[in-house]
Amino acid sequence: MIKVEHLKKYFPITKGFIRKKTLYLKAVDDVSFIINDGETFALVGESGSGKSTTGRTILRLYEPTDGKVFFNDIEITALSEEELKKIKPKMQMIYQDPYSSLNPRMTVFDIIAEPLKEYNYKNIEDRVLELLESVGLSEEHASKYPDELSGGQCQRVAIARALALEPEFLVLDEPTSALDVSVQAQVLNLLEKIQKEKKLTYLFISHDLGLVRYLSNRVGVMYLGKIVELGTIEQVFDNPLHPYTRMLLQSIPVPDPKQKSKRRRIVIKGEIPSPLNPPAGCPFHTRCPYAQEICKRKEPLLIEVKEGHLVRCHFAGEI
Amino acid sequence: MRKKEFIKILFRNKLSVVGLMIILILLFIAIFAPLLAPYPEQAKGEPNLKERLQPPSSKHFFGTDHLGRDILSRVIYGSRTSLLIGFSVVLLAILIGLPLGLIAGYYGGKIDLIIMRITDIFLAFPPLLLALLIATTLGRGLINAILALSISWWPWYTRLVRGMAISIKERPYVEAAKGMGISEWKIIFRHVLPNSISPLIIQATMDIGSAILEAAALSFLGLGVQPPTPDWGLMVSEGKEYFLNYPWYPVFPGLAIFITVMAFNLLGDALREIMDPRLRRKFL
Amino acid sequence: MKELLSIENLYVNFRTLWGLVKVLNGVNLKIYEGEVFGLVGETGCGKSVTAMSILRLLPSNAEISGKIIFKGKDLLKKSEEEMRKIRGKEISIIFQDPMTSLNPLFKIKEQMIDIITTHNKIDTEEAYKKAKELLREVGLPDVDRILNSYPHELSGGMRQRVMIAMALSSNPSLLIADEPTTALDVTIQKQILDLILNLKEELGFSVLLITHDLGVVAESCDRVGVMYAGNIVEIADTEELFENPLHPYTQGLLSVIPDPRYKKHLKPLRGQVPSLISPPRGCRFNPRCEFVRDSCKLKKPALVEYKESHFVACHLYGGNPDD
Repeated sequence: MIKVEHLKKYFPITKGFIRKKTLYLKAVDDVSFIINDGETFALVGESGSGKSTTGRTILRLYEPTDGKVFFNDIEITALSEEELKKIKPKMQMIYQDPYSSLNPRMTVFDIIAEPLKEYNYKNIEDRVLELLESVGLSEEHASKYPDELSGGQCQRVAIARALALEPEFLVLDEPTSALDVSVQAQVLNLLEKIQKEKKLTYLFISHDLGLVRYLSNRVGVMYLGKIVELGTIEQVFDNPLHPYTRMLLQSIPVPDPKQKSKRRRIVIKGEIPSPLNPPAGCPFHTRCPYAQEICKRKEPLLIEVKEGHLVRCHFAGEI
Repeated sequence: MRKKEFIKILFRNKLSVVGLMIILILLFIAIFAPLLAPYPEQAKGEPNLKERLQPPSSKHFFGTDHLGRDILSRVIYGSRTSLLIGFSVVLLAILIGLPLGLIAGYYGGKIDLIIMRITDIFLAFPPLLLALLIATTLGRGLINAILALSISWWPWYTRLVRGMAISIKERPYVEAAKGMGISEWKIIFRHVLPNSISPLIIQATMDIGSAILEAAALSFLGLGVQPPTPDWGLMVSEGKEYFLNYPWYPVFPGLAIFITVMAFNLLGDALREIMDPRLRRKFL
Repeated sequence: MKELLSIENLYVNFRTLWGLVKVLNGVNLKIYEGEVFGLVGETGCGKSVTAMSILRLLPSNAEISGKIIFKGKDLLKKSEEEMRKIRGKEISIIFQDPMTSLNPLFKIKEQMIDIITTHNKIDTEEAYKKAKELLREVGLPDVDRILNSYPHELSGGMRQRVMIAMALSSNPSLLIADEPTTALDVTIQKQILDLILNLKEELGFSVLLITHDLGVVAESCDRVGVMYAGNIVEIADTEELFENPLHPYTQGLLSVIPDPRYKKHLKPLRGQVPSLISPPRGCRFNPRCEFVRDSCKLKKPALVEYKESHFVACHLYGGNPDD
């Protein structure tokens, strides 16, 4: 359904008083992947890895610097504004902060009805109620304002709004990270349910590996604007080949106190370098426990180690 | 914030209630001036030379002026002029300033640069001086005074709205609307405008008071409202020569200006506190 | 184990425009010397208010009652002057976002020396030396450069390390860590947690770790208290709590956290966290509880020791003596 080819998004940063230096923040640097019909593809990484920017560039909320994005074989990156407007209903996004993704001065009804009106739907009232019910809300919520709802309810409204235009593809940008755990599970289950019912395809952006494992079929691990490992959930989580993926998996707290003393012995090295000034060679070499001379000089390519399992490391499979 | 809370907080602050009450009384006085003023004809300018410069008495509560006109009646009628000036200056300034600010803030880039440089030119002058210049060019009179003040006023609103629009357009709900293909002008009017407007309302409320004050200054300098129109600024100006021997003449219209400006400031302050969540704590 | 801090029947209400918010509804807990005590719960359950009550840093619209016994003395009875000597000296706190607790206008050096000279009778030069030493202790490289930096020039992880160094500058006996890693990336989160635990072992202070993340609890706490809507509903050793959760809320919490090691079925809790202006009568969890009984809606269950050192506040376990 979605094919991303060599996607790049650079943000120019002007520095200095006399506007002399223009640096480029390479938020997304040559990213390629495909998302199959009906699956959930996850992009996982820490802050500054470019996972959110990738999602927004695919929807053309940001104009890509270079590269192509295909949606059902249509090259979205080549469309004009008018042509894009016809495609937009098919691709929607759910945001991290449920409160700020809803206009505080509009009622729930108006929020969900807005896209319907824009695309001249009929029976708007019935459709809004139907949508509210499909996300587990009811008629009584329709007249409320976002600040009268809880975080979980707001996120349901945002989901209903995204579903209004009958999309085929949803970008979920950390959809539950602002919610409490007990509410998070409700929203995750809702997302799973509507995916099955409406045969949706998801791009799930998250920093939480537990959630990624729960919701996704395949995953791409991003570090400083690049995909460093890509494969099915089992391939990446059970047999991680890139040292960064291993580091991530070792870092996240495991809800099992018995592992405590074992996990205390794992030492995590270094901090994420500034994306404005990424290290030469392999971007991870500054933190990598296996780094060799070659890693500082030459950037590794993303190579397929096993079927569908790609790794960007000089020593993939050897370490 | 819902209306109920808004009203609840508004009434918690006693000073804001005072401000609101004064403004309501002023509006009442302005509307029913012909019924309230003891000498409506004198208020409109008819001289009464028999009773020149009388001190306050039961016949003339505020005394009379140099043409023998009842000052109370003229102060009552003056509220009409003042409120008319206050509201229309602010309204006109918003009509110019708000759309420019929205456009500058939402679109950014070159258009923003141009609009902002224009406001810079206006803001480089002290506001009253600019109004004076414009009023001198346009000539004397009520309408010209209003025009002069609004022209020197709108850049403040442009700046204010631009700043808000810049922050609002980055909100996820605006991005979501773009992602749904909602047309640009709907995004501006439905999403950006309603969420940028609260600081403008606060500023405008306080500015009504300031506009009345500046209009009074223009009148005082002879550039604003012309006699025999009843106007507080003009009355202070005419009365200043009689101040030492007949103090009631300039003092009563002066007091009217003072109370009105203060009332709008109190209300504006209260609105700011209500709309600013950091200050709202104070009410707890 | 010696008792360091004991909170007894702590009630905190906030007076607001919308009514009295009953934030803490009789909190009881003990922290022993040298242990890491985790306080876990969702937004608004009162875990941060508990911490701020210990330091007596609640806003002026708060009403507080109960006892907070620290080293045998009730902190709620101390004068403001006496409290100032305890804050930062005997009890230190670090917050979620170190950027807000560091003054952006001063170099790290100035802020550290300021803190150190407040609590120790030494001159600036010695304080500078001590600051260097402390920064090395929290694992920061290139300490001279860091001391001469402004807060915004450091990464989030480094800022949190600086905060820890400052918090430990006076050898406190209790460190309160309020969501210390929530704003950080996972790899940095692990570094900071490990740092706190290593320093604790080295220096022997106790830690009150406040978090919403049960994973963090499992990784770092010796004992844990679960809070819900202003009450402690369960206290146990960490292993015991994860293996034998007694309270329905604890059970619910454990069944909703995803595990990175395998795809787990998530069984969400129904409903929402209640409003604390008009909380449910009786047990505040009763509207969301699947085992709810009539008594739950009438009486608040007391925190009782159901098993050895495993406390629970629930009518299912005889939470009320006259049941």
